[in-house]
Formats: sequence, C-alpha cells, structure tokens
Amino acid sequence: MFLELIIRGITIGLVYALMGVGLALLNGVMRIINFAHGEFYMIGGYLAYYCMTLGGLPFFIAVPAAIGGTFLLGAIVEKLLLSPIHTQEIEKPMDYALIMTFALLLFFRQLAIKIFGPFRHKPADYITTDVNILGVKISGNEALAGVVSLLLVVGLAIYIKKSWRGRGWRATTLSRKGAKINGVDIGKESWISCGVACALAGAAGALVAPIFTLSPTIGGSPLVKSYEVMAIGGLGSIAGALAAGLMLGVTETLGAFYISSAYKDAIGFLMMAFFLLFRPQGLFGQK
Amino acid sequence: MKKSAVFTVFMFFLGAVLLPMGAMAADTIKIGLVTPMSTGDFRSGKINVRTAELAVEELNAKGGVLGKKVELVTADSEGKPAAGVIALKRMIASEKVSAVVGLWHSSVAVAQAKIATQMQVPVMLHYSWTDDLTAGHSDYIYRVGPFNAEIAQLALPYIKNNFSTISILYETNAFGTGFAEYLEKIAKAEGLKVYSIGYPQEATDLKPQLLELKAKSPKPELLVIAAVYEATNLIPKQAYEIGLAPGIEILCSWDWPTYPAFQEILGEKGVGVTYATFESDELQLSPLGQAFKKTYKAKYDMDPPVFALFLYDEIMILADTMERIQSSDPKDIAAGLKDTRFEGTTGLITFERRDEPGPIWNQWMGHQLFINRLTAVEGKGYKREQIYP
Amino acid sequence: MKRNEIVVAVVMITMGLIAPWVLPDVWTTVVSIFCYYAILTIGWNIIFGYTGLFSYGHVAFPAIGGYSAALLAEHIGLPPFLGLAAGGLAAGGIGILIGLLILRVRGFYLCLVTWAFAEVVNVVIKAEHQITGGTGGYLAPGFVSGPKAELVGYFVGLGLLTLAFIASAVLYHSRWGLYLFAVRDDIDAAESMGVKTRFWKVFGFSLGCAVAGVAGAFYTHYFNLIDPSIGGLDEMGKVCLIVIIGGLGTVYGPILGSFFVVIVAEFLRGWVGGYNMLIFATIMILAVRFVRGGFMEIIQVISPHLRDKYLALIGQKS
Repeated sequence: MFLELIIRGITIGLVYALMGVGLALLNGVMRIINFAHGEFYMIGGYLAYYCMTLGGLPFFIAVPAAIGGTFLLGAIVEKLLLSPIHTQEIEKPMDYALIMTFALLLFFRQLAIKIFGPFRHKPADYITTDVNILGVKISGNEALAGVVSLLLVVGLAIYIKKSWRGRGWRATTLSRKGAKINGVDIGKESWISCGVACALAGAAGALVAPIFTLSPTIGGSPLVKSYEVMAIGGLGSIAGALAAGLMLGVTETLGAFYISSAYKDAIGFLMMAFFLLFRPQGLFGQK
Repeated sequence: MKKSAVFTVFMFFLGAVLLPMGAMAADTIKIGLVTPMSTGDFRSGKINVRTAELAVEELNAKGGVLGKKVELVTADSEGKPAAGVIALKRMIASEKVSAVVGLWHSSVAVAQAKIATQMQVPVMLHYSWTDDLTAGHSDYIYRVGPFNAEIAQLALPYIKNNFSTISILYETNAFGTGFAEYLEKIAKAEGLKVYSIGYPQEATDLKPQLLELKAKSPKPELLVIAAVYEATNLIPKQAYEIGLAPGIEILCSWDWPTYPAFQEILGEKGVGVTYATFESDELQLSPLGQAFKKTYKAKYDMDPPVFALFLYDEIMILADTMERIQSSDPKDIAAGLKDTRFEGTTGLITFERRDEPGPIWNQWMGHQLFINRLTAVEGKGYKREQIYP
Repeated sequence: MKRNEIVVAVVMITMGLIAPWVLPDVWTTVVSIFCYYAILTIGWNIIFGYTGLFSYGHVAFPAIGGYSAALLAEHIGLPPFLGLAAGGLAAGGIGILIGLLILRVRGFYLCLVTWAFAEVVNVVIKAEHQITGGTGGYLAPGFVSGPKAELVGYFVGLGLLTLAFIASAVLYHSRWGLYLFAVRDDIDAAESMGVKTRFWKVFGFSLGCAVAGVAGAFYTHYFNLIDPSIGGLDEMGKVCLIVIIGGLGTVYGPILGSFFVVIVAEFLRGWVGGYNMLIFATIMILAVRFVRGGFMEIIQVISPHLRDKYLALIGQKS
C-alpha cells in the first residue's frame, strides 16, 4: 500500500508541477497574480476532447492541438487585456490583474457552462492498457500524464537555460529595468510567456482529461495547486516547481491515507503557509 | 456633496421602478421553478427546466388552466441557500406565482421551505430527500418525491439479504448525511457491519476515501453511493482505478447511471453497476407516464430520470387542483392540494398526513423502490435488468 | 467625524428606515445583503485600505463569526443578538493570532498565506461535518421569530452598518487611524519615529476581522442558515471588486462599491436569468480594461464638476 501511494503521489505530483511551472513563469515575467490559470487547464481539456470526438483525431494529435490552442488563447488574452500593465502607467498593476483575471475566471467558466453544457465529458482513454510500475498497477493514462508532464517541465527548463528568450525571462524575473536595458522587449516577452504559461496549463488539462473527466468547473482545484507549488518551490525556479510538485503530490497522497482523507486539501495549504512563513524563498527560489 | 446623496437616492428609486418591469401581464397563471441553473447541480437543474417546460407546453396545448395560459417562470438557486432564498422571494413577491416547484438541493430547500411557508405560497418537492422538509408539518410543503427514511427502509431488504458488510460514501449535506445516517442505523440494527464516510459535495477526488475503504477489514461487499454532484460518475471510475472494484458491488442511490455521461465516463466498466429507482419496466408506467417519457426522449435524446416523472406529476397536479378548486390563489391551492387524488406517472398520488412527529406530512407514500443492474453496453447507454424485487 | 460623513450617515439611515414601506418586498432582502457586504468590506478596508495588509483570506472571518454564532445558539442557547458579539469576538480573537503569525510577511506572500488560512478554515468546516453540518450548512435561529422576522433582521443589518460606518469614519480621522496609515505608507519611517508598528499591524488586522465576524453572525441569523460558501474564493473576489470600485482606503468606498456590486447584480439577475454571471463578468472585463480610472473616471465622464465634489467628499485633493 505504501509503495502504491508513493507511485500515485509522484504521478499526480508531476502534473501539479506542470501547472505550477506555468504559473511561476507568468508570475516571474509579468509580476501579476493570475486567477484564470485554472481555466486554461479546463479549456485545454475540452479542446483535446473536442478534437477527438468532433475532429476524430487521435490523442497524440489532439493533445498537442489543445496545447497550441491554449497558447494562442493565452497570448491573445495577454495582448488584449493584460498588456496595459506594461504599456501604460497603471497605478496599481496588482489590483488591475487581480480584478481582470478574476473576471476572466468567471467569464471563461460561465462561457464553458453555456457552450460545453453542464454534463461531464470524457475523451476516450489515450492508452487503454494498464501499466505496472514496481508491482503497482496504474492506468496507462496516468503514466502518460506523468511522463509527458515531466518531459514538458524538463524541456522548459532546458529552454530557459539555453535560449536567448529563456535568459531574457530569467532576467525579467530578477529585474525588469535591467532586462529592458539589455534589450528585452517586455511587451513581446509578456505575451509569449503568458502564452507558454497558459499552454502548460492547457497541457495539464488535456493530459488528465481521461483521468479526471471534464466539466466547466474543474479549473478551481488546479488553480489552488498551482499556487501551492509556486509558493513551496519558490518564485522563478523551475527545479523548485518540480520538486514542490512531487513533494505536494506525495505528501497529499500519504497524508490522505494515513492521517485523514477529509483533510487532504488542507495539506497543500498548510505546506504553503509553512513555507511562506518560515522560508519565503521556497525550496530553490531567490529571496 | 448633496449631488452624491441625490445620485444614490436616484439609483434606489430607479431600481424600484425598473425592477417590477420583469413581471408581465396578469392574465396568465404563473408557476415558479427555482432550481440550480448555473452552479451547484445544474445538470439536474437543466433536466428540471426541460421537464417543466414540456409540462407547461402540454397544459397550454390543451387550453391552459382555468381558461388562462400557464406561464413558467424560472430562477436560479445556484445551489446555495442564500441565493436560493433570494430567488424564491423574488419569484413570489415580484412574479406573483401560484406555486413553486423544482427545489432541488436538500440544504437549500430547507431554507427555501421556511420562506415559502412564511410567504404562504405552496411548494412541491419532487426529489429533495431530507426528512426535515416535511418534518416541519407545514401546510405549504407538499412532497411527491421520496424521503431519506423511506428510501433507506425500502432498500433495506435487498441489502440485508445479499450483504453482511457494507460501506456508504455520502455527500455531507442534508440529503447525503440524512440518507447515510438513517441507512447506517437500520442496517446496523439488522446486524450488518457498516463503514460510513462523508465527503464535501464538490469533491472530485475520492481516491483517498476509496483507498481507506480498500484497506478495511473485513472488506466491504457493497458500496452505496449517496451523491448528486460531480462525484456521481467519478466514484465508480476511481473505485476501479484504485482496485477497489471489481470485487465490490456498487449501488447508486438514484438513477444517474441512466444519463449518457455515465457511459461516456465508465464505458465497459459500467457493466455490473446497480442503482435504485422508483420506476421499472415491469411496473407499467401509466399512460400519462409513458406519453411523457416518449415526448421527453424524442426531444432530448435521453430517457427522463425518475425525478423528472415526479416533477411532471407535480405540475399536472397543480393544474388539476386549480381546476378542482377553481382558483389560482396560492393559499387556496395549498389547502386544495390536501385532497389530491391524481393518476400520476408511476401510480395514484395522494398526500398523507400522520399526526405523530415525523416527515409524513403532505407526503406521498406510494413509492416503490426497484434495483436495476446494468448488464451490457448498448448504443449510448446500457441494457439493464431488474434484480429487486 | 466630518460634517459630510454625518450627513451621509443620516441620509442612509433615513432612506433605510422608509425603504421597506416604499419599495417592493424583495428589496428588504437585497438591502440586507447589501448591508452584509458593506460591513464585511468595511472590515477589509480597515485591513488593507487603512493598514495596508493585503489579506486574501478575509472571508474566512465571517465564516468563523457565523459558525460561532450558530453553534453557540444551538449548544448553549445563546440569543442571536449576543451571537453578533460572540461572532465578532471569535473572529477578532483568531484575527489576533493570525495577525501575530504574519507579522513578518509582506506583499504577495501575505496574500498567499492569508488565502491559505482561509482555505484551511474551509476544509475544516467541511471535514468536521458532524459538528458543522458540512457542505449542507447549519441552521440558526433568527433575531426574532414570527412574521416580522425579516423586517427586524433588516433593521438589525441597517443598524450594524451604521455603527460600522461611523466607527470606520471615526477611526479614519483619529490618531489611531494615523498610526494605521503610517504602517501602510511607510512602516520603516514610522518605526523610526517610535510608532509601535507591530502593535498597530495586529490591531488593524484583528479589528477588520472582528467586523467581518459580526457581518458573518448577522448573515447567519438573518438567513437562519450558514454554509461554507460564505468563505469561498468567489466571495473574496467580490470583496476586492467592491473596494476597488468604491475606492480603496476611503470611508465611503465599501458603501459605494457594495451598492454597485450587490444592487446592480440584482438588476442583471432580474433581467437576464441564466446569463447574468456571464454578462457580469463581461462588464467587469470591459470596465477594468477601458475605464482605467475606475469609478472616478465614470464620474468624470458625467461631469467634471461632480468629480471635484466627489474628491472633496472622500477627502482627497484632485
């Protein structure tokens, strides 16, 4: 049982990490709170579902399509609605982002209810066989979700480390002015990083769609987990987000079984609060 | 500074003038439907709306009630007590409805029922299970649907004859908690071992609770699911994912497995699942019931769940009562409903009142419980057979 | 209190007193809800507007206040009017504890940590459903029983709002208020001037929480029910929206903002049924995007003269 819990925890932890990494990126470059992050998770899931059911596409095309779709949506949202943060002198950019992203959360959720309807949906299983890891049986979908999440996170980490754009993002996270001076076009990087962040959320949603099923309101919990991962891992650190995601996933699963299943969600919050109070830079973040 | 105050006063009275504009001409009879439409269990709410619309259409096609057209007024309870109460109050005060149907979530309904009694407008419950609703012995609350104690009692013979250790997963609201507690009580009285775990209604990850059950000893042979929210389809699915199923019988406390979403989410794994319902293929639906079922299926491409039948009954009963007493006044209707004798979709409906404390007040007691099992995937749904009685 | 504020308070009370006999019935409920949000937001305004602490967990405190009142009423028969005080004390007490805990946390981190606290409160309420009634909620007695109950509740709400308004206005102009503003505007300078910033931080925070607790207790006894949705994230969003629309850190902000968010939302609900949330969200998006000056810019469009009066009203120079 213990091993089973660990494996399950790692699998879900990788997906948490994916969500958290996207948010950390967005927060680092744009310096805002984004309440709509969970809604992109939901949209990504539905895009994959409709690509498969209406478009007849197999999952390995539908999921990337969903990722592309959420990237585009994220970029458009940034360009149209969030750009004032860096193009104009908004007195209180945090307030602006707060209200705007909160309104976007409501907007996307209500729109989803109207368009996708209230009934739960599920795309056909991506992988129909079960996978055996160290004697623990988990579904093929879950294994796929974990593996792809890991690949995306690592891929992003490499990109940020090696590419010019990636370094520009890191610079912006550390100092906006410094980045500007060094030629980083904040406007352009904002919509690109926003697009990427949303794409990562969409990826998470698309990957777990056959596991957790789809409904217009599924964005709430991923939003919360993303913030927990970000806080535990530390702002601006991808390694931190990865470690935090795994830590959260495993601790939650173990805690839910050995301590109390009713308090499962509290575990993430308590961990987040603990780090914020006693180690605000998280696991690997900068102070 | 005066301008700001004037501004505010102006807004207030603008509101007072504009608000009543919602109400329409007084030459129709209005029936109110307050049900979750945007949050909460808006899935079932949608079915409620569709059913009510169908019923009202039918009434109007036959010439209306008391010679007037029947108008359906809908409001969103959002599945929250405060919103539900406001929606109900608005409906009664501004729309001047003759009666209200469609209340859904037990917890919301409890708050709404109090208001309806205060404002003296009859409310008919078609599927809010908590005993508390009729236990208050209000003259304005009538229930065509079943209630927790009744359902648990009806299901008990099946359960005790087939299982010795059972588990119950329930939502911690008035519906779930009431049902689980009652069932646990009477099952234990029969010598069964009962594991009972509650969870918050919006939860979508029930694996921790299911893992807990998997580790219990002696192992439970039956899993009773008392759910209305998202978890309805997720619990069976997750039970399979963690290995609790197969190896345990699953009994759904109402007939949601007949929804198309169930098959989409569970597919082959749905075969073998059992559920409780109040109509069966063997019990002939009355001509009224059969007609409604056909119309609903033709229009919405799915069989109406049993609660839709009860809601349909209620609207028809209201029309019947109004014709009988020749009045559309809420107070008169509340009194008149008492003497209802109506051939409903599943049987003859009358309202019983027992003078002892308890939920049997303005309550129809004619329910029969059936347990069906899904036997094979068929098209977008399943073939099913009745296994009890 | 400034003369303006006294006049506004009197006008509000007068309108509130005659409203039940002038307006349709349902407005009693709507105005009571307005009172709830206004009081709640006055509390948050003290925490964030006056003291500068961005607490994103504010809505946990009406939950604490409300459940305290409901549980005490049930278990020891506490009368509802005392329940208001009990709710305020419970919330204020916990506010002191949390306030001490978060002394060293600032900015964005403070936002997250307070949010975490609120969510933990929610989880506890739902998990301990044997005690709290879980997601179904917990019943509570009204202020009085019988047909006049709603009207009495309405006046209680109005009375509480007036008290809260007066208290927040007095605080605004008092020395204590200055200490809070000092903590908000430049805590290091204040510290070096000898202001006991840690004390005032906790004071501002717990006072706001106590006010919120009273709001929660009022809500509970008014609706005869409390459920966990009162502490949800969307409720917190409403509070932020109210304060931002109405004006942060001002005395009238919560009132004006609540007016728009509660009463305008009811309009929409009456007209467009199931689409009201979608329309509400769309309006919010458009308004925030294009009306950058917020409420003040709307006023300016109507009349520049009015804008100056408005600024003078809220005590700022244009």
